[in-house]
Amino acid sequence: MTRDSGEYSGESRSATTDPTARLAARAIDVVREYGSGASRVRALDGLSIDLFARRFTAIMGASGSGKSTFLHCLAGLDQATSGRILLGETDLGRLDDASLTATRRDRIGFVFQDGNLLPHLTAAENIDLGASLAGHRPDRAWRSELVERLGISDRLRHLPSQLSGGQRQRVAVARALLGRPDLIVADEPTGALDSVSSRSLLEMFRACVDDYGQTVVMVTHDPAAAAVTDEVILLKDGRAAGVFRTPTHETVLERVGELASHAEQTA
Amino acid sequence: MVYRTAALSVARRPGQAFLIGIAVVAAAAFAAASLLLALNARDALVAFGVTTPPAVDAVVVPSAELETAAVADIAEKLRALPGTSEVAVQYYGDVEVEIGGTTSTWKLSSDPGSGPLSEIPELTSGNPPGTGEVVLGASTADRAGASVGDSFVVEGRELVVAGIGPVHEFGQDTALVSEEDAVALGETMMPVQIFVTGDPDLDAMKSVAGENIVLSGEERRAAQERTVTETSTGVFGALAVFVALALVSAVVIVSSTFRIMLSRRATELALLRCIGATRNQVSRLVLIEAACIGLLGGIAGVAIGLGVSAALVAAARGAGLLNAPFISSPIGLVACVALAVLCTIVAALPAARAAGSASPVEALGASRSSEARPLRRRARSALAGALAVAAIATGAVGLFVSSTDQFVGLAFAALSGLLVFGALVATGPFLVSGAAALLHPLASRSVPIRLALSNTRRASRRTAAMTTVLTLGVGLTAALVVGVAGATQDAQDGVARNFPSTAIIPVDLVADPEAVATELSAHPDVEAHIDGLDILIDPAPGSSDEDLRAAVLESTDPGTSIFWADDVLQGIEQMILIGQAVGAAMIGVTMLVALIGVAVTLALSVTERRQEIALLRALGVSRSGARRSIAAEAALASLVGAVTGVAFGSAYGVLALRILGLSAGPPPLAALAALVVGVTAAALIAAAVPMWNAARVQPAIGVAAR
Repeated sequence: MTRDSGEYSGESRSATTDPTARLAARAIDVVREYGSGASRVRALDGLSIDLFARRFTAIMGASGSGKSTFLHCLAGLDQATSGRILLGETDLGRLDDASLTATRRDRIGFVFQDGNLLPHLTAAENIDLGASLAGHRPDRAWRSELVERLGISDRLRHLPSQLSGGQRQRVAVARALLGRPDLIVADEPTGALDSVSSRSLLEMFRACVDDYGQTVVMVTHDPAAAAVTDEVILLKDGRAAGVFRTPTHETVLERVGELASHAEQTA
Repeated sequence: MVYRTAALSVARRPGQAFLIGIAVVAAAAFAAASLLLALNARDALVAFGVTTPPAVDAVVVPSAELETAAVADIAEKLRALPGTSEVAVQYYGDVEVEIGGTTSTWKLSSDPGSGPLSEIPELTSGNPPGTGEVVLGASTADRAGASVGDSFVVEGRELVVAGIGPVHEFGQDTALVSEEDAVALGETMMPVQIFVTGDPDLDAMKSVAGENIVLSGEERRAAQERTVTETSTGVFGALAVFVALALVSAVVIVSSTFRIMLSRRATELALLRCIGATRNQVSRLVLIEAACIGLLGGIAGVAIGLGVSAALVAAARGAGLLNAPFISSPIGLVACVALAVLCTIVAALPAARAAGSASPVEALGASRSSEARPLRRRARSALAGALAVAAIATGAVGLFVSSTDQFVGLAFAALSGLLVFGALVATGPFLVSGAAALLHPLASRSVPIRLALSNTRRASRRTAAMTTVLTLGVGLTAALVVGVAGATQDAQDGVARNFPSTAIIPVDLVADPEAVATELSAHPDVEAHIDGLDILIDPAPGSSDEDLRAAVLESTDPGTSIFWADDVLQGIEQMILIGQAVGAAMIGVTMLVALIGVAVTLALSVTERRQEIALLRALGVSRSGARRSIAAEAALASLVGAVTGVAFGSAYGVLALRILGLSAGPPPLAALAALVVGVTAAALIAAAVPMWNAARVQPAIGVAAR
């Protein structure tokens, strides 16, 4: 717990409450099935996970382990077949489409593999999109602090096609952070980046947690990316297969390797 | 915000907006041009048909039997009535004019040439006509090569050109003479109306006019205008039908284009949903985008329509068909733009609904191949079946009511055609994949063609959009071809039935039929006898038709009405030809929209399949192979469209002929075959740009990671 947010309480915006006690989100016995009959696939098979607030959590696992499905359910993009997903006190399974949409808009921030910016809007317009959709003005001061911090203040008038991959991701991060969401979910955010941009983006996420007190959940298969987080949750066949704190590059490689060899032995 | 995002989506992706909107541009241009041309034509017809000048306060319309002298007598009595300030008799007649050694027929009317009772506000040159003088219409003067001071002979009287002015000519040779000369020309000039100005008492006028009709100037002008407007209403109605057809085609094309565009942008819309856009916001975004495109397309189309109609009116003015300057209708043009916006929004509705209801996860994970959604086969079949049954029923009703009212019968036939079109839209994808499956064995040798066939089946809805609109265009053309063939055949039969001889003179049109027949028979080239109501005239054995014409003219008094079978047939055929040309022009716009549809759809197909084409190129498909594959897709779509169109169009052509009580005659197979070939060729030309783009795809991008 060397990088637990408690250490950074002096700099954090919301360090007044005890962070270790608060859960940002929980998955309780979540099952997600696709298809029916013979073609039925069980992507999540009774998954239970606790995600603590003001932590940077990595979700890892082999392809087909259910990491993306879990992320989609957690972010309210997909509904679990059974079980509960709690965001704070809110049970996402009980929300109708309109409330779920509002939850995504107001309480969750997204960063995807390739920026996923609207191609016809400038960087600035993309950053403001969520606030505009909700019909309120973005917080000007917070916005300029963000773009300054992310180093994109001179890129605001550019279209996504005029930005580099790293810059696009930083715009996406700014968009995600602007609404001060309860949870930021990132799906393979470094997947399309070179190592330099990759490191810079991860440092940005680190700062989100350490300096702004945000909660970040990131799906990744890159051990180097996972090594920057506070906690790694391993998934296997749609279930949690292990959790460990303060990962390093080596421990991640080791644990992932163990998981794979264990899979081979049982197979 | 949604508004801004939608507007930016259009503004920053002009190419995409262009592809979606081009069909709307064509339809809006057609609508605007039709509207303006119709307005200008109506104004010209009104100017031509309203022969009572605005200053005339009362009119007496003499009955046709009244002698010229009696009319002049009434005019004298009107002059004596209190309150009348001016009285003029308008005479009118078609006269033989000798000018520059040739004879031609002119329309002559009496007119003071200036002042309140004249039809022309101001002469271009010269003076109003005095006795022994004439004022020529500007185009008439041009054609005759006459200028002020020239003289020519009218029915044996020499007249001098006193002036030239903007007379309503409408393509005819027209001149104005003084009232005195009109009277002097005798029986050829008929008194048609007596104009009165001042403040005459209509009842007093009625007592003077006796049996003849007395009207106020206002009533008279309104009645004349009504006559013109009534005849033009039918034309407007027909025009509106064709405009509507072009718009429907545009809606089908735009709807398909929108669907393809949005499925390509699925990730983008999914992203919006992820970051908190509601279903409604996403749907609204698409609809506003559609409205923007419709607005731009409408404005562009209306501008084009305005330009085209202004040019056509200018040409008509140059040819002497019109005098009035070009008139526009701002409200009408705005309505055309509004119609374009509305049509585009309607076209975008299905795509907008689909965009709103797509789950964000599905969209995020969706592969880029669009249109993979399974068809609702059962729903479509049921709908098509219901429409087909309704179409057959309506067609039968049309046939049934045609015995009492042909017009209502035709309206039912048109409705039935519309229902069949609806059924074709519903079953289009099955037709297309069926045809592709049918052709598959034939294409086993050629990889590109096999690919084209499988692509057609995979994206059958997209191909069906091209096909249905082509079907509409081809169907209308086929109906026209069959209808014209039937009408021509019927005219020939009719003339053959009514004209047992080369020429006839109806007995009631001559004073002494016996004498006329005897006189004609006396000529060695002529055989003539009275049979019932007609004098039948044929060439004597050994004489040619030309000999007969010369001989008949020689042996009859000038002005005798002779009806030549050939002339009558030619006249009818010319009318049919004009009808055919107008119909072809109207249908041409629907065909144009259909071909735009082919070009746009294939262009989008190529962009969407770049990766796939590149992979095929990398695996050894040649450049021309890639081109051939696209060509095969275009050819398949147009063949299915053309064959279906010819089948249904011919059926409806025959139905229309039946309703009109005309015999269908032998089917014009050559013309119909030419239609199928022509449409397929046109579709291949429309596919030229997509073919070129497909051939240009670099093989390297096929093996590179996305």
